[in-house]
Amino acid sequence: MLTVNIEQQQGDFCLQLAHSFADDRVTAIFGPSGCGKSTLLRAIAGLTPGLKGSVRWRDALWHSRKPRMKTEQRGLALVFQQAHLFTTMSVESNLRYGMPKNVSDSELAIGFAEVVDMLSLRELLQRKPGQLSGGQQQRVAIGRALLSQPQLLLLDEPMNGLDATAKKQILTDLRRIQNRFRLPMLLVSHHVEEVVQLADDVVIMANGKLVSSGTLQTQVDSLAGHSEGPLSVLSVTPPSQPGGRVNATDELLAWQLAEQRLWLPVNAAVDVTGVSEAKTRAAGRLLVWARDVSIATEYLPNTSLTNQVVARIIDFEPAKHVAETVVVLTVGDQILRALVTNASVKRLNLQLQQQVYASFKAAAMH
Amino acid sequence: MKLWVLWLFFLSSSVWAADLTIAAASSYRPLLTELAGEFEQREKVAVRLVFGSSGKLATQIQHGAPYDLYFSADDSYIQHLQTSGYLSGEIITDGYGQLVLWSAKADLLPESIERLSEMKSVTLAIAQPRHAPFGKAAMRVLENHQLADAVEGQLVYAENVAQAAQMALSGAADMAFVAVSVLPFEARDDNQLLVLPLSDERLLKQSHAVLRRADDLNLAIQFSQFTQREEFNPLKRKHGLMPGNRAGASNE
Amino acid sequence: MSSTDWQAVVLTLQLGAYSTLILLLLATPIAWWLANQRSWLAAPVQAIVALPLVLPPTVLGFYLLIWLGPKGFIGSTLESWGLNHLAFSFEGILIGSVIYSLPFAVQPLVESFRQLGKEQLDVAATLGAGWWRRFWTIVLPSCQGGFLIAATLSFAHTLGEFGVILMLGGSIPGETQVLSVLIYDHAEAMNYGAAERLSLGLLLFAFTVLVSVYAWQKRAQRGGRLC
Repeated sequence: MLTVNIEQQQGDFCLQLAHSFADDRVTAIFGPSGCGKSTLLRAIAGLTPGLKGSVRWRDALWHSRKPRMKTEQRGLALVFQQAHLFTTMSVESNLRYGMPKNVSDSELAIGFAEVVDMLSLRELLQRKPGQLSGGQQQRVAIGRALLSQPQLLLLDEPMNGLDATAKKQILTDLRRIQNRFRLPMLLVSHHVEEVVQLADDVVIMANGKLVSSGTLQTQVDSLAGHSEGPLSVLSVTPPSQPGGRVNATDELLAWQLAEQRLWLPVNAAVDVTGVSEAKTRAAGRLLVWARDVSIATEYLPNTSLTNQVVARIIDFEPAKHVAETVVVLTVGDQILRALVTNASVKRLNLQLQQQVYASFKAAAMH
Repeated sequence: MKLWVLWLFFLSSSVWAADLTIAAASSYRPLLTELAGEFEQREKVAVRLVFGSSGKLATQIQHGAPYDLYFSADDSYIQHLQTSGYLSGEIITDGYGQLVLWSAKADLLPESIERLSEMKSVTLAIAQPRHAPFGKAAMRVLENHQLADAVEGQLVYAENVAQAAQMALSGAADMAFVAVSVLPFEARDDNQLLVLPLSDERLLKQSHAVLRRADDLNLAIQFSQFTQREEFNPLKRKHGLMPGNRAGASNE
Repeated sequence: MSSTDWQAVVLTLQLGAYSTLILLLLATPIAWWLANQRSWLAAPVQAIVALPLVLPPTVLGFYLLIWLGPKGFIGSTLESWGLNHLAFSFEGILIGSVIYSLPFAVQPLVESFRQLGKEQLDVAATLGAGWWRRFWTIVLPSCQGGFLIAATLSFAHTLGEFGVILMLGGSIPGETQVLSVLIYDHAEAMNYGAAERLSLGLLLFAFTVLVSVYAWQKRAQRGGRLC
């Protein structure tokens, strides 16, 4: 458990937060820019002067009024928005900077060779940071943080400012890391996709205060209120047999959504291995924006949409725009939201408990 | 490795430890350089010489400068040191400095000091009368001949008598009031210098004393006695240190 | 060259080397503090460090002579402990040089430290590096340009120092008679040949040192090694 009860004044801005973070999973700290997420992370790391209150990690008191543990003694690692590689050193020296000395690679919980391979850094080892792309630099920074054998990994928007490809790779890497090393992580992010793909728990912040917190599923509504619109998170299970692939050219994989089958691109951001042990079955998560979901009252045989699932209407919620409505559906025991115009609701004569076909593009799954 | 070099560097400075350190007015330089060399050879000791203006050296002595003997060109400073208790033993008079008016151009030099009042276009270098004894003496000569006001605009002041000589030697000034002792031998031509007798010879009294704080008092006294030997009288005359500086004193 | 000349050459190099060494040790924490300090105290401290730039060397020399001499509070304290006072000694002019050249060591380091990304140090701390390791592995290599300039300027400025040494040290051969003072002494003795030889030597040496530093700096800038 990481228990934080702090107050940090920075000019006009005041961060004030009391919360206990679980120490066995990934917690995303979500909120708009300037809400104090990064400050919170820096405060936990002991990098903000003038911090009031206390920070306790498991049995160790990291920060309180009098005894204060130095950052370097806390056994944490922080990956910043920018990689901040040590410019005078090679990539390899950067990676080895925080590694314990005089310990063989095999004795380490997180080994050098494994990290290098996992993050595809072998080709880069002899280069200088200035010769790397932004994504490569950030991968080195993540590797460097891991190799310092942290008990807690803090990630401050590590994908910020990277192009889509680099982002995707780092997201995949992080999931792989989480799966392989079982590291407790705090991830600061203002991108719903990252939160959905990585987090077990979510803490939502605004204006330096905690707004709400809980498991990802309980926070979906709150996430929607602070992002680009209503959304749903679907749990999908991987194909029961490896032969689920339809054929090589289509590059689609069949996934189970409750009783129904979904066809998703092989590279869609669903990782078969990207799950924590807490879940009994290996499952993936799909982020589906309500605006990408359409509703039909009958099965459509002639459509370009790959996936149509049978769903039941359980609620109508007002949308931000007066001309639209959020239709809340259940698929099995999961919630799926669709954003449709009021006109469509009327035209289709949608009713509560009505069975409909919800369709969304596989490509729309981030 | 680098530290080793530094360390060796450090050790080497102790090699220079001298047995005797003498502070002397600039006008003593040629004489003392010869005498000290002689003394070093005869007594097998190391002597180091520090030259400066009499006043500056006296100030340094009062602030703890590690000198063993003090040779002064100005009576007032050495007297002051004596009353303040910095000296050991008597003040020894070495002789009297000789003030001359010197010019690089022989035809420019006036026949007598009074003629200076007619030479309105020449510049005259003089050591600062406030603290340089030869400057003070020169000013006294000008006052005695009622010339001080007349030539005031033509005077250029030098820090000490050696610098006044430099001004004239380099041609920066047409003439200079200097001590014979600071002039190079080849410049001591009768045509180039005009001896200026003093009414009060004490003005340029050159004297020395052993300092109370001397590290080796016996050696300091020994050097003092050494400089007083009869055999060095010709040497003193050669370097402009006269038994007296009244009218009729001649150079070489 | 005479033995007096050699003595002065070695003494000058010694003074330069020791001053530079002491200055780097002294200026680094001061510069670090100044570069990271935003309190009102920074301005007066900066002013004190910069004072030798504007004060005539004679003022500094005068105060040091008063304080370090046998009647001054530092000199008399030393004497009461059975040590020597510091006026007219090598140790005395060393103190004088250190104070006199302090701004030349502090200023380049402050500039250098200000340009150093503080984030790299934060990262190093989160990787478990303590203060000392952060200094050696991040600050020193990243700011080597600043350190080199600070060292060069300190050394060169010490070689060129005259007023403070003359005032505080006199002109004692082998103890305080450094090159600049000896050149003055030669000139006063109308020993122009020797003065010219030493002046030319000093000129060439200073020029060579500065050229090598600027050449190095240029090369380092191209390689992006300067922070």
